[in-house]
Amino acid sequence: MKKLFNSPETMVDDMIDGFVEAYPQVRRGAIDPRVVVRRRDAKNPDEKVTLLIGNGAGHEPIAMGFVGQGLLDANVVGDVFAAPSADLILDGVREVTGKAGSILLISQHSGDVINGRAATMLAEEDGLTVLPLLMYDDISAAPPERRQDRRGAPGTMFIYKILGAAAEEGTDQATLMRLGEEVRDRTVTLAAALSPGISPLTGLPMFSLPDDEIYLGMGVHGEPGVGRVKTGPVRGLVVEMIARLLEDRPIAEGGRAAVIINGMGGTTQMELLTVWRETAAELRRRGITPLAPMVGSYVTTQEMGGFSISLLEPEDEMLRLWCAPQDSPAFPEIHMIPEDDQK
Amino acid sequence: MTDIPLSKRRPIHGVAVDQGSGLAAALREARGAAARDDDLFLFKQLVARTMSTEATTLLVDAQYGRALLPEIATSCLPMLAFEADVYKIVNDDRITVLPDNLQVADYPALGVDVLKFFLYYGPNDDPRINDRKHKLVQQIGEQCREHGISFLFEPIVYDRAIPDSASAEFADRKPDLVARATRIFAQPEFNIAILKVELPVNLDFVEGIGTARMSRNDAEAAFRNAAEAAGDVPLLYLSAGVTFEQFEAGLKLARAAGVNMAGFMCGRAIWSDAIAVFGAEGPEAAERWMADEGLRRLRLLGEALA
Repeated sequence: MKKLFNSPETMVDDMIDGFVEAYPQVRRGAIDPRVVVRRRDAKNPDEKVTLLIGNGAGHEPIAMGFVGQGLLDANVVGDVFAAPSADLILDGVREVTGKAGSILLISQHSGDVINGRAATMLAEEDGLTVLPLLMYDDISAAPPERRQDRRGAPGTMFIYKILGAAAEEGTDQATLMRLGEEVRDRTVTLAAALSPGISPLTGLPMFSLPDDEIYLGMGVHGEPGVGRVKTGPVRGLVVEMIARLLEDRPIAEGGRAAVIINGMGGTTQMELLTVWRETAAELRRRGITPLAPMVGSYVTTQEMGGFSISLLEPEDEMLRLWCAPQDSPAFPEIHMIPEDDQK
Repeated sequence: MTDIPLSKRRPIHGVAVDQGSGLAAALREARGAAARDDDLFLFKQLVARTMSTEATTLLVDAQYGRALLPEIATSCLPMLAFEADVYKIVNDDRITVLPDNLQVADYPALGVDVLKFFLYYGPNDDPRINDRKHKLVQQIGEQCREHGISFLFEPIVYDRAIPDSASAEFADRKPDLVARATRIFAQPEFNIAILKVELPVNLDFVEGIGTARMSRNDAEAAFRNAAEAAGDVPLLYLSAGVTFEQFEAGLKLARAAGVNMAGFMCGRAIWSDAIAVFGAEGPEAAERWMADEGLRRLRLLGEALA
């Protein structure tokens, strides 16, 4: 295995050291150094609801890259592919929670949910007002009637950004929770995996796939998906993915969709932009206006090849917040597509 | 994969190869300058390949599990651990680190019907810590029920007042600790299909096996008491780092005590001596050792139950 680490024991902390030194927006937590905390222009937590999330390392830039103004207030970083413990998440809650309360975002994966709920209960015992918001959007993990069983996928970035912008504007905790649930209920994601990432823990590919096949619906860790398709021009693949997404959650003709094209780590920007082109074209062909795209590799699994398409049918306010300015190390500026270009 | 479920497999002759960083360190030390990044995988692979031919179940870990599952013979029931790194517990409360690259919901699609979860448990600990542990086990049990997965739970007991678990003092306390932990987790709210438990005595202190600090009669009574605490939940004995000879003697002691056990799950007692072979002579020699001595040990443990 050729990877650029010093040792398995230090790889996560070495990375965080590099991260906080590279970006002035963030620092390590005072209570626990495994918490990455917003540094620049931090607001008084007695007045602003804070947002945080815990996740295993190995998927960067998510989520520590999204700590900053107008986004997350903290990210609790677990070991590689390991859910951070309830105690560690509690440290994160303690770092950032004031009288205005906080929201603990939980991307639905068994370990993260169990530990997140435990941390929430412990925080309540400490007198802290923290509410857990479960996030799930991967349509391959469960049918629409069991959408609450779906796992968290890159469409959760809509929630990060929209809630982050709303919290920055002073929205209260209960309103943010409702907004988060509404965004979640309007978001769907489907992934296509081309090749495995190599686990930095084991040195092994995380799954295997024939050279001429693409795995539809595989999770970010190689979790089982919905089936295999043969490789071919990307247009056909995108058309099929859009069809599945809209079958799961239809958007009427004349409707709108904000789009995330997320690369899994080993797929080039050249390819991702091609995927975006085909996604926009297919949505327009169906009479749906694509809006405010985010195209790049943000939720990764090492050098895993592939991408996901996430669609959000936004209300006007959601769209405004999605495009609002932010200051984090890794989240891109989101721009509306000029009307002249909507052809 | 085999289609005989866990509940139909009696007795269980299980082999565990779910160890993580501890085994990696032992292999690194044994290999010395010849150590490779993939030694841990190669070792697990050869254990899985050889032992699953005769073991009724084989337990693999979350990190290597997906790569190891194809190595398991079709006659053998695979079990997949739901821990990030078993036995590597760094926090003071000794709460197992959960994986975030494996969901309970993934088990059926992976062809695995049994989830194993391990947790250090101190019956004398602060009730607030134990309450958290109970909730954790309960939540995993609920998810197993939801997804139709059998839940195998492994509590390893400790007592903060006696940090040295190899001491005579801890040996005196162990039967009570194991029985209490067993009684708690046998309650139906945990949805545990099978309890993987330690031998309730420290064999180093049992008459006829180690020093005679504990009489054989008392040891047999400890086995019966701990087994009764399980009620209707089947018990699987684990080797927990004892030598092969000790584990074999322990199973015979359980049988002499009249314990109705579901079987055993054995890791290091079967394969720890292969680490030195792996280090000195390489993976192929270690595989030959496993196919010969490893399987011989597995058969002897099976006979100890018979």
